[in-house]
Amino acid sequence: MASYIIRRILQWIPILVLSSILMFAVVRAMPGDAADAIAGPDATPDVVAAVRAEYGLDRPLPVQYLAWISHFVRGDFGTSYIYHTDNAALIFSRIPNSLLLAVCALVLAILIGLPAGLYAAVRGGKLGDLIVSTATAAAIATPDFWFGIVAILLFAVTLNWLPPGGLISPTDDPVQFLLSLILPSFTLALHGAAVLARFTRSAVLETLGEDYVRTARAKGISPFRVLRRHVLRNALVPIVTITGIMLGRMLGGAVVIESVFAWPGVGRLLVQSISNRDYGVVQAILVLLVFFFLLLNLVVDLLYALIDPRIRVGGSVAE
Amino acid sequence: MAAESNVQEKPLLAVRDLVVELTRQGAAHPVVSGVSFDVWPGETVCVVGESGSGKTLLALSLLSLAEPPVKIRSGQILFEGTDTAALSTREKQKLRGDRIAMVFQDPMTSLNPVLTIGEQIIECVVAHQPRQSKAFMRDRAVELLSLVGVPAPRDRLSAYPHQISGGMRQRVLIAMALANNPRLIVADEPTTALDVTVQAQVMEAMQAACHKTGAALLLVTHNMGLVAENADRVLVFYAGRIVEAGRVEDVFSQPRHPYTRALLASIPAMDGAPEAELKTIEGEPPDFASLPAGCPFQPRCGLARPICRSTAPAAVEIAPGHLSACHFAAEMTEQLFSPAEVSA
Amino acid sequence: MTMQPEIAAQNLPLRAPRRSSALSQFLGRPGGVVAVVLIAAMLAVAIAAPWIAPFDPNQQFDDLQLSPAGVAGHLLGTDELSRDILSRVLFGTRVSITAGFLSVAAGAMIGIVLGMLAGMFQRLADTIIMPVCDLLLAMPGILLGIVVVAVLGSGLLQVCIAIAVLNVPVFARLMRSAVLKEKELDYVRASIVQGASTLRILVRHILPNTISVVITQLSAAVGQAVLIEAALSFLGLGVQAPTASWGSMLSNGRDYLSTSPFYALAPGLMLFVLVLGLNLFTDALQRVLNPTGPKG
Repeated sequence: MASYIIRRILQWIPILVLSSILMFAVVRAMPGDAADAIAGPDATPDVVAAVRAEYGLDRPLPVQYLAWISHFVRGDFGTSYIYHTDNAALIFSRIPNSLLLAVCALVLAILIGLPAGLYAAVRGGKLGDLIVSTATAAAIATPDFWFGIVAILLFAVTLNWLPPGGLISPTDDPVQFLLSLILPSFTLALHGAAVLARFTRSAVLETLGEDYVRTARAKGISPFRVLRRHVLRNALVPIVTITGIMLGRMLGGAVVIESVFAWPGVGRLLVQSISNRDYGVVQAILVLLVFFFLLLNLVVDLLYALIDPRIRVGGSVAE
Repeated sequence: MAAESNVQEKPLLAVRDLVVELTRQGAAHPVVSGVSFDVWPGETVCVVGESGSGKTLLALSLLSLAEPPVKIRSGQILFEGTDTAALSTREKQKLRGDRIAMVFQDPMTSLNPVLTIGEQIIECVVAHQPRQSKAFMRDRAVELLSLVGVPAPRDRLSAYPHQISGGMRQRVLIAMALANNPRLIVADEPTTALDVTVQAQVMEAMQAACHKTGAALLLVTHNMGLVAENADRVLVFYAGRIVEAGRVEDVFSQPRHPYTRALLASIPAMDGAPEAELKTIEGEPPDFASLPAGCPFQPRCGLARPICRSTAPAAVEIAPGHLSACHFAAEMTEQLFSPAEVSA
Repeated sequence: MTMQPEIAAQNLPLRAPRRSSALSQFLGRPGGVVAVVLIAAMLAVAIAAPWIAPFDPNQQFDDLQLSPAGVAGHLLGTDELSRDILSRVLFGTRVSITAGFLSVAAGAMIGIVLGMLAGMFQRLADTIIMPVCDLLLAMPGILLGIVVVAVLGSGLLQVCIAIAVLNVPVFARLMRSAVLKEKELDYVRASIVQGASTLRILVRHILPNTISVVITQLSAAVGQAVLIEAALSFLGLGVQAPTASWGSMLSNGRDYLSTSPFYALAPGLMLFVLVLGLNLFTDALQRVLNPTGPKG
């Protein structure tokens, strides 16, 4: 297992380097000069020139790349001209909020999607299966931001049960904090739960048809045990992968959902910064997001190996 | 081995007029129609027939493992005198893997890839003897693996299926079947997926293990050589029916059904001239959706006469313990093979 | 449930579906029919918008700001700039259809060519094309869309480019694995051995055999693209005023939820119907073209 982890991490490093080069190209392609972006539009020409020299932007491109990446590696993301704060501090103060929302939504999606898909698979072709299939088809076709708006209209504006948006600090009011989480989490979980339910259904159906499941039934073990030990354990391999991918999608979806619920996360900051042309913040967020998604893919691969012994220990008997 | 066990009075397994149906596109087709036979304690009975003759579905039905779209329509499966159809789901489950066990065809796919060999064998024991200690389970698993000839059994417990060879996997499947000292083992083409050299070893291990534990073996196969080497009695299966049944010596030396004769003629003879033409059976295996009128074998039968196209022949006892479902069974008297010849 | 389907297939052969029966199979289930009806209706609305819309979508009716439904012939009322909501919703169909179909088609074409190149010339693929594709695929589509719009600026054309860009790696990867799989098949190997040109092998053998996977992916991608366009416009990064887009209408309409609920509800409902039609279409295609493939 250890050698597998090391091998995967070694494969991962060149991708990280490649992606940073790509990100550099994207940042260079953004409107305005990189120095302008970092210094902000209000900066005087002297300041811009100073930034340009400091970041090495007047030097050849490979040197510029190295200077740029070394600033990022040291955690120097420049200063926001809108918020007049350190970009790193600004972004890192928002990250927990985004993660909170994404993880809550992911947990909800798993709690709803996994049992629903399992139920549909076991009920294969019967009414329960049909109901789950119809509901998931409808959920996937529903734009989640619209779902959020309708939910606000219903539960906040009309019924007045839940706050319409914003994040209330748990130290200020723990009850309101939990209430403020409900609508955004469910909205963000909508697609995830439906995709997970459909995926679980087909993975379980496929596993149910495997020969080893028949072997297990021939052993005379209870149907519940067959389902838990033989079907779920194997179906879980693809399900874990898609759950990992889903956490990524949740963070992507959070960009939109945060805007619906005025949620103080990274996604909303990104959208606002693009509108405000605060490109220093934009490039910092993009670089961090790319890094995060690459890391997530690595973690998913490693998790996958943990569940499926065929991946972690090649073909040999030696373990 | 058969002689001693046949002395006992009650058959271990008695199948009576079993009809199994497969529903496809709204229509039910019989894939096993009116099959009756006995398996006596300790003996080896072979069910032989072409692929698609319904023999696998028969095997699954015996363990109540047939699931929609396959259904037992009528007839009885009496195991140790009890009609298994009358048992509750829970009681059927208790019987499976305990008194009756099954060995499946494909060792590559029949073992769970994410559980170790040990976990999968111990699971069989736990299912029927839940109160035993962990150490007992491990020892039992090691004992079972050595019984089927797996070398270094204790080390294999922690191996995953993909880490051992196909022959070893099949031995593991057999060890799992033997876990609770079953009285009957149903083996569906247990060696078909293996290399020819490994086939003999695995078959030998299975026979030895059955002999040691006194389990009866119902071996489903299309391989006449395997039948000749292992069977006490043979059931020839065609289109979901038994067309001929009897002691293996009788059936091989004096086959009383044209289909059996054709099957035997299609075995390459080891001592025959190399240029001798290998006989094949004309025509295609029957399609269950459109079985011919009369005898199901008549479209492919060289002896077919008008009566074959109108009336399905009933199985008649042509000699003691030798049944044939052919209108002309009495006329086929010439010797064809001696079993020794086939197994040579 | 285990052995039985196999046995069934053996004994009761179902003849391989011919072209005509593939169509009847597609329409045989309710999902296929509903999909065709919904998509056809949406296409009809997009084409006929100028004739069926009661008003010019950008015409402002003085003193009719946020009027409720039904007032002065405005069936769904008017928006904050006193424009007819129904007409804007109908014209919005054009934006969604354009962004969905045209940009996916463009992205798919580039992706297919790249994927075929990657499949045939593996050196090139492993060093450049595939790492970049993997990188792009690691990001959620909407984020990639935001990156492209951040670089290019907002507008319908920019959104279309963004959607095309994020579809390139999807199709490149799909095509590459399809080509690699086909290349291993005996008849393709035979042509290679016989010295057929790479291009000839691609066009004559590989392309026709991968078409069903591509069609299914195309159908799925259009549904995604429609949602991404709407999301970008909702965030204010997509189609710009005064062009009517469902996403931007939703964004503006949410401020008037209690007074003019149709403003936000109607475009959302249209989006739902269009995407539902496209998804059902994909499911039906999947059933007919790749019956053994995974069902997402």
